[in-house]
Amino acid sequence: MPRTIHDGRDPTTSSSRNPFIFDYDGMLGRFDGDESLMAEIISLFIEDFPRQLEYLQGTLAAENWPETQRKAHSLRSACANVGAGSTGYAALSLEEATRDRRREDAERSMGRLAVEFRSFRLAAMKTKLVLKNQEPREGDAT
Amino acid sequence: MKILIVEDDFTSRKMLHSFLAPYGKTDIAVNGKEAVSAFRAAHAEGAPYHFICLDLMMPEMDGHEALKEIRRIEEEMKVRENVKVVITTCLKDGKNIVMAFRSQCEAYLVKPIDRKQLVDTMKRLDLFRATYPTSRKQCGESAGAGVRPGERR
Repeated sequence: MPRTIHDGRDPTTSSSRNPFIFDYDGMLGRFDGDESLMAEIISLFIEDFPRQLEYLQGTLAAENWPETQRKAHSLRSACANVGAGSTGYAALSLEEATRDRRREDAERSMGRLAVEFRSFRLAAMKTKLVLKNQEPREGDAT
Repeated sequence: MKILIVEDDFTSRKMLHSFLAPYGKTDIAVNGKEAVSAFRAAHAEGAPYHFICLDLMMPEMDGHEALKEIRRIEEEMKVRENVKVVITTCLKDGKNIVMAFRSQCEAYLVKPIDRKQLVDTMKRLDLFRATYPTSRKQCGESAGAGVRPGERR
């Protein structure tokens, strides 16, 4: 069952102004105003995420529930640190679905995770942060 | 100061490393098992850690088990001063928090981690005292078995 988004925003809306997709101000505050470090960490996250997603797809396909749950949790913590709220929310949905071994919900959450990540990447690229991964990718929404 | 970051997520590891590197020599472990090995090795080298940032949900050995093991080893070795352990996790339910404090963590920080909050916690734990060496050189550059100093990729 879909959950209500806590701030009432539609997480599928691609906008750099939507803090639920990318909470720039929140992250800047947590990084004590250090924008260059923020850019570095976001770049690493963007670079690493596709690998994590691929790994998760493999563990889910193999029905390795504990590992999928653990990895989804780990991804959620990364999302929290970079202010990727809607991506983190999708990771939480995946974590909960795998914990309860709900295959269909887990697959839906996996799809959502990929979509939300693309929104995050786009939102991050629209900020004034200088990211290493600025090239738009196939499938990025405009 | 000698610091050990125990975290299975790559981005979170890098972030914590960036936050903590200015305060001393910072090593990395990616699960509880590696953390316990690093903790033992550091004691064997006569250069124990002063501070550990410990995630909870990790492969091989989770943070709760690792913390229990670390405290058990300290008791067995009759160390004069226990390492200060701060839990850094997404888990904010009462069960995990109570369990962590029962295993004698010093503080519990819920992600997202805030740099200022982390440093304030370290101050509160008296980790910036003059008797702790603060530079990497003062702390020695060698790392224990299973530790990933600096971790580059």
